[in-house]
Order: sequence, then structure tokens, then C-alpha cells
Amino acid sequence: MIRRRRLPRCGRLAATEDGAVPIELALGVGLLLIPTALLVLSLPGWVERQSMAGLAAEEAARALAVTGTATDARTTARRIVSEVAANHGLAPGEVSDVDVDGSFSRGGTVQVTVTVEIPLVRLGEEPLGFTWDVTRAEQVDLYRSGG
Amino acid sequence: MTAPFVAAVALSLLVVTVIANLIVFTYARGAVRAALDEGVRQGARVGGDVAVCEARTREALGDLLGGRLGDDVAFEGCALEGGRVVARTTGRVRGWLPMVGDLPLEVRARALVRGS
Repeated sequence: MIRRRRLPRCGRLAATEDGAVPIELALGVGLLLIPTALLVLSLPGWVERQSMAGLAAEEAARALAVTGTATDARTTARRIVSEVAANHGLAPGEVSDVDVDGSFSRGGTVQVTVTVEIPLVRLGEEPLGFTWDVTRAEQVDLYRSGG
Repeated sequence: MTAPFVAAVALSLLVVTVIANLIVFTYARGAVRAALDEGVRQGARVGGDVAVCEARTREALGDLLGGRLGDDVAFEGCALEGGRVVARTTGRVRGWLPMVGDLPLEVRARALVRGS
């Protein structure tokens, strides 16, 4: 004779688990879903800022390679970078540094490095985050006039 | 599967949908900014040519924000203001759910004309 074993009924919670779902839901949303959501929502902003820094450095390097001189290179680069940053919605302080290096003579290479702030979280006035450097180089034309 | 479990899963999916919608909003705003920036820089590079700015901006907006996503985004054109090429866009990006609402867009980009 085969004795039939009684299986526990599916779909019913044990008496000790009564009310577990609302607590688990609240904990799951608060500790897992919302932190993950904040991280996922901040990721596009990081990529956008890195891309903006690259674009600004490229634009500044190109402008300096075409018409720049060693004397006003830094000022010109800063102006171009701040314009591009403002067009992408960044406040003036969020581009922390613009550095120019290289040679402005014919055939030389002009390098522009843009350092941009990437915020992780904002607690109070100062955001916590890190900085990201992007360097772009442009060659000065061999036949550039005034070089 | 109990009713509270189903409700919990449904609520989580709703939250995921809202997050996805917010990511799309971020993309749309970034795309509009990038398109305007591209347009004004092109215009500024060729001596402040407004027609070049408008053509490049429309092209970039079409590439980045084509389809229904950009239906309510209106490019207002480029202008030359005080030695700068300025481009403006207004409009909104529609939300997927009534609880999310729409993203209002009023973006402006400018670039100093080269050689000025």
C-alpha cells in the first residue's frame, strides 16, 4: 500500500508569514529599487558630461590650431569650453580646469585638456563626486599663415 | 501566487516604467542641447551664417530626436545677437504615464562668431 503524502497547500502563507509581503515590498523598494533607480538615472548624466568635455576640448583645440597663439591660448580655450558647457546646461564651476599644451608653430600639435566635475550625490551645498579629464589634440596646418 | 504578491510585482513594474521614462527624458533633453550646440558652432565657424546654423540644427534634431519623441519639440530658428549665433527650441516631451507628466523643454544655445 502506498501511503499518500499530504503536500502543503500552495498559495497560502504560513501563519508566521502573515503580513510579510507589505514589509518585503517596502524594504525592496526602499533598499533595492530606489538606490538602483538613482544610480541608473545618474549614469546618462555622467556619460553626457564626459561626451561634452570631449566635444569642448576638440572644439577648443581646433580653434587654437587654426587661429590661436601661445599668448591668448588659455583664454580662448576657456571661453570656448565655457560656451559649450553652458550650451549643455552646466554651471560655470562645473568645468574645473582647462589646460592648453603643445606647439603653435606650423606642423605642431595643440592639446587641450578639459576637467569636468561628475557629481555622484548631492548632500547639502557641495555635491560629492569625481572629476574626469578629457584630452584632445589637433595638428596645426603646415601652411598656416602667421605661424 | 497570492494577491499581495501580484500587487507587489505590478507596483515594481510601474516603478521600472517610470524610471525608463525618466531616462528617455534625460536623453531627449541631452539630444536637444547637443543639436543646438552643434548648430550654433557650425554657424559661428562660417562667420555667423544663420542658414548654416538652422540647417545643421534641423539635421541633428532629425537624427537624434526623430519619430514621435520629437513631435512636440519646436525648433524656433537661429539668430545673430551681439556677435553670437543663438538657437532656441521650445516644446515638450510627452510622458508615458499620466502620473509622470510631460517634460517641458526650453533650450537655448549660443556661440561666439569666429574672428569677432
